[in-house]
Amino acid sequence: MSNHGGGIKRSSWLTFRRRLLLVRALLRGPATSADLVGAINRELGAQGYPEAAAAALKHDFDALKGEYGCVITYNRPARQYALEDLGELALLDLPDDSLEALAFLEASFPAGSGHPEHTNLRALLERVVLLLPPTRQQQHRRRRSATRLGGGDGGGRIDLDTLTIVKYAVEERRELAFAYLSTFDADLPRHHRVAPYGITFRPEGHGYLDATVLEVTPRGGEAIHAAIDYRLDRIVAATVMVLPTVLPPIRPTPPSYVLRYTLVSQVACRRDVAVYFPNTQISYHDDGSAEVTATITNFWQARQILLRYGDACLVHAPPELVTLFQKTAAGLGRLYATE
Amino acid sequence: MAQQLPVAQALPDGQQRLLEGWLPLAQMANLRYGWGLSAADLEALIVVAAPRLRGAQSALEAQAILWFTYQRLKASIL
Repeated sequence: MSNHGGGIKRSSWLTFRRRLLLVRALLRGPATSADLVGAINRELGAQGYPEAAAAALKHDFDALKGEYGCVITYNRPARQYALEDLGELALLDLPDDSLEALAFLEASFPAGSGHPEHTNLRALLERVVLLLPPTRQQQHRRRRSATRLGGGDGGGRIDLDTLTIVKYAVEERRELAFAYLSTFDADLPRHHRVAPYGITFRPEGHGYLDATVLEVTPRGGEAIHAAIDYRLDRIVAATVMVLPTVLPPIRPTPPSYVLRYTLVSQVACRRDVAVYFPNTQISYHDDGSAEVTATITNFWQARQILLRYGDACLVHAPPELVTLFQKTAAGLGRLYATE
Repeated sequence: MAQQLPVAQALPDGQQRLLEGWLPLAQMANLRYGWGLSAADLEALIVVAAPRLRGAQSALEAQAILWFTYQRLKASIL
């Protein structure tokens, strides 16, 4: 009796092991039945599948589906089996920190980015997620969307061809032309010819082309030779063109201005005022306020940055920036005016 | 009495815009990761990270590059 019982136990164990090996083989990727039988037999030798393996293989697939909830599909034209879902066999779990790291990687290398070098990484991430139990997969999906929001992916998507061409122009130091829809262009984009110098990203997630304006048609308020940060997602796709003209060795220097502003005690009293501009000097006063001086070349950018302080920041110089703030304040006054 | 903090060095031509462009993101990382870097240190971090930052495809990737560069610099100093 005991021998018989041991035989059953050994047989059950072998069957279980064979099914786990089958799952492991499928985790490597879709496979034909011959591939699978070969992989199992290499591991188990004489204890693997018998010569007529088709029925035993089907039996194992049925068991994996019925007993463990695995989802295995068959691609008839390719004659391949693929593991779509591990069901109860999703045995991998990860600490929350690792799930956060996984979400960060997913957000950094989004699906459908079209970059060949991202393809393998995406496949790896998808494999790892597939190994997680369903509840952890759901947590991961929620975390992933939160990470994307936190990363400021809320802006318009940058056209990848545009990004590639712009980067090429920056590296090759060649002039660039494109149609651009600025905040102040209602519907019709205008044609810009620029000297491109770099690409930057801001905390809110938008990507910008740092360029010197050479020509704008039709002309707007842009000063020729001014340094402008063009939002990459507002460059009209398929209009960007690298021109033959090589940039001069020295960048046409945009005029620089001394920026001076005061931060009220409420934001400066802890003496940890943020540095947002080159050549920043901060003087803290006894009343808790701070006076900041720095150098800027771009009024619009300076205004965007300083607006984060709301009414806790008073700009004294340069006069052009003060005028810009006055216009903004008047506009806000109109928007929020109470009857 | 006003207290004067150390003044950043004058910038060579071309670096002004580089710093203007990346400082907001670097400052955000400085606060987020608690580095406590001074203005001059932040500018130095950007200059060192600049070659890699040029390849960044997104704000998250740029942030990761800044973090990586900070760790490398810290390790080389210690």
